[in-house]
Amino acid sequence: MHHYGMGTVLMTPPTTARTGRPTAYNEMRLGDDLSPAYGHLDEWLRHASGDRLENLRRGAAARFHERGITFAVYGDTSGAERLIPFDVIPRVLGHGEWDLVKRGSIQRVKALNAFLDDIYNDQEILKAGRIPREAVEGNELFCAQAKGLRPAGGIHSHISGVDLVRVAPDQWYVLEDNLRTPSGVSYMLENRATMQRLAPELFRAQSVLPVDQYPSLLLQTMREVAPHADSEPTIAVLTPGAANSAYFEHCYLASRMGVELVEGRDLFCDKGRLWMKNLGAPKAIDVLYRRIDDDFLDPAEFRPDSALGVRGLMEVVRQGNLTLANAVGNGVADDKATYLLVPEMIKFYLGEEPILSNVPTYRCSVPSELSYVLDHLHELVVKEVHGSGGYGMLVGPTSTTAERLKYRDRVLDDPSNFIAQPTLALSTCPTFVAQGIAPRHVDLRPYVLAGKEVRLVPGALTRVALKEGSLVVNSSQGGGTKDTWVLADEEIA
Amino acid sequence: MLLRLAGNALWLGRYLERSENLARLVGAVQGMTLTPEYRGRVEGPWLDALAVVGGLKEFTAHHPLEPDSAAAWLLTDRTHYSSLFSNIRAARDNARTARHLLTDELWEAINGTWLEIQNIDATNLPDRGIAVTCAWAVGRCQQIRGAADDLLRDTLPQVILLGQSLERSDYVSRLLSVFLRGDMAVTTTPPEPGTIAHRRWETLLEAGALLETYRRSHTAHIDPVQALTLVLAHPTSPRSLVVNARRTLSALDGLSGPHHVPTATQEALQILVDHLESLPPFGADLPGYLLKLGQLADAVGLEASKILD
Repeated sequence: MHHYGMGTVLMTPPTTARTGRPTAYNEMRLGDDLSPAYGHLDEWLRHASGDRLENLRRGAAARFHERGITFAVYGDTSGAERLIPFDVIPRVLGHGEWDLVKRGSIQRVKALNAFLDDIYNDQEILKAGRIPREAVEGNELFCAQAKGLRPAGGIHSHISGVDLVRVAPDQWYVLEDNLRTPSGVSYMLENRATMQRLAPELFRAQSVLPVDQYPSLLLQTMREVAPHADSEPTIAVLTPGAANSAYFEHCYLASRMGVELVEGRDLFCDKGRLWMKNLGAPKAIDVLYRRIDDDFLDPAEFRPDSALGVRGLMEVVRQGNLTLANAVGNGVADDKATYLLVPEMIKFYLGEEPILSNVPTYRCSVPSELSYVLDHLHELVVKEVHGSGGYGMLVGPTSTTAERLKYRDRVLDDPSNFIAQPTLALSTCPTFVAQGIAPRHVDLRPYVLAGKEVRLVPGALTRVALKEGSLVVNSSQGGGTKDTWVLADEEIA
Repeated sequence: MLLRLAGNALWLGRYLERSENLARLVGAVQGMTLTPEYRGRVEGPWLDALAVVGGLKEFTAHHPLEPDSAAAWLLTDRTHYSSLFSNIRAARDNARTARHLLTDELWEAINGTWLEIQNIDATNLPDRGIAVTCAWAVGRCQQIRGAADDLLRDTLPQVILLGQSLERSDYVSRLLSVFLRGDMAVTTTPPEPGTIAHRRWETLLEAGALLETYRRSHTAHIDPVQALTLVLAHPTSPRSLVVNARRTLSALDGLSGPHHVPTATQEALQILVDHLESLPPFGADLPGYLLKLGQLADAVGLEASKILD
């Protein structure tokens, strides 16, 4: 059986006798050996009492509330705002560990940008037969409005979130690419600021590379992709509004970049430009970092009932007077079906072997693979091709027979809407939970910025599944976050 | 500055000012009802306080007027727009919309106040204390104003100040229209300390944050003529009506470009200022003067609601 993106290795970790599930790699301690990157943290944890950790936890929660790093829950009429739980024990990566993640993420984003620019223009990869035409043009996320669009520098995904999981010291898998409106970077930044405020002693003991230059790099990226290079561009962040769950992040990034935060109702198109309705004269926008989905951007070309976007926006883009970050139509490159094709893109566009592996993936649209999936539901993770947020998926090993039978029917109803992957033993990190310090599964989302260069700060968002044994890290499913440290080179020498 | 955010900034200024004024009003009325002059007759002052904030009908339709019930409603009610809780929530909502324009300290001062007031309700207010809660709210509003002082002197603080001065003008005129009734009729004869009339003048000045100013400028014995002059027409007091009407005019003039301020607003304000600057000799046609003042203030309020709309 052939699996796209399988690479050469399907790691089958040892399993625990009790559960039959793979044993997770503990990033802090491999057997009796302490990871060198965790030396100082281990020492600190040995001396930190439960009370100290609890005080830190409370202090962090209070700070998050004061800062308003909260989100409203859709459908909750009480108006209560909630926090995403923050774990006070950081995750630590040595410089070499990070370097692998960095190189692999940059490689991936370069290939994905080349792919997007190609499929909406020359389609060389399709002409070369390296990827089936149907896989692209038959994808419901292939965006007709993006055809022929060539944004500045050929860059379509200026901000990308690459979701990674780890199963062994040098073995990372890409879980998915996020090329539309990846969120969460403000948590990366606020988690660090919170740890520095509450536990400064940890930062005195070792050299943790900073992440707070992210907004500055984001601004630089936006400037680099402005449509007219001859003048200082006007940049704005487009938000759906204060009710959006990521509104804090929209404000945060606009504020830290020193640019305006706008809503669709603040904008209008005229004379081939996009304008802000100011107190004084209107002001033209050159680069719009939009945090709303394609569907809502322009009622003239997408959903006609959208009140969040601006009529005529896409025409301004076509006239070359506005860069949208990210560009429209990126969904075709980051859905779970196209995911399988990324290793091939890397080879085709960059002439390189993938640095980061894809998780072996079974396409239910292929009869032989569907048959395998149905026979192994109890050990696979099955997902909807266009799903996100951890919703609508089946985690085989933790599911009941009834759940599997029900899910089986869903898959059989529409096989092409599902893919399946082996249940990976996501690595664990020490986490402060009600019972004390215990290992919990984590993933990693670095944020990759693509302008004239592709770059990222030495840090990422770590999401942690707080429930014992859970592999689902999504905040919508009870996951939390951790500060993620990358140590300076000398720290791991 | 975006037109929409200018609207948010204006209302931020108004709701913060309204919160502070309400806390001062409740604190002053609460103090008044504890005096011997008002023993057994506390309903009147609370009805006045409710009337000042426009909540009289709503409150009396649903609640019996009992000791502290009006104060609890004015401070903690979750549903009525005129409570302190609702005003702080509205200030915070407007600040949140314009958050990226605010300093972190200003935002956290506003958001912290919102977080704290959510812990105050009618059940724990007696333990916490009405006066303590009012003082807390006044203190938080002043802290917020202090934090706003660090904003770059551009359009944003100008619009916040516009909201503040508009609201302050409105509040002073409401205070006067409610308090200058019946036994508060202004006479040239000062009331005796210890009388209800004297206590009401004290309360009016305290609610308008002018009692200490009055004592320093004059004496502890309140002369209605001097008190009314201070409230209405003192040329430098930051709380007098004329100063705030002038400030409002000046802030409107300062907004450059097509700033969506109807000229009728400025015209109404100019008429009000002219009226305030022609304060007649007391005892002459003061009731008529005050009646006209109320009408002019209402006209300003009506026009002001269209600013940045």
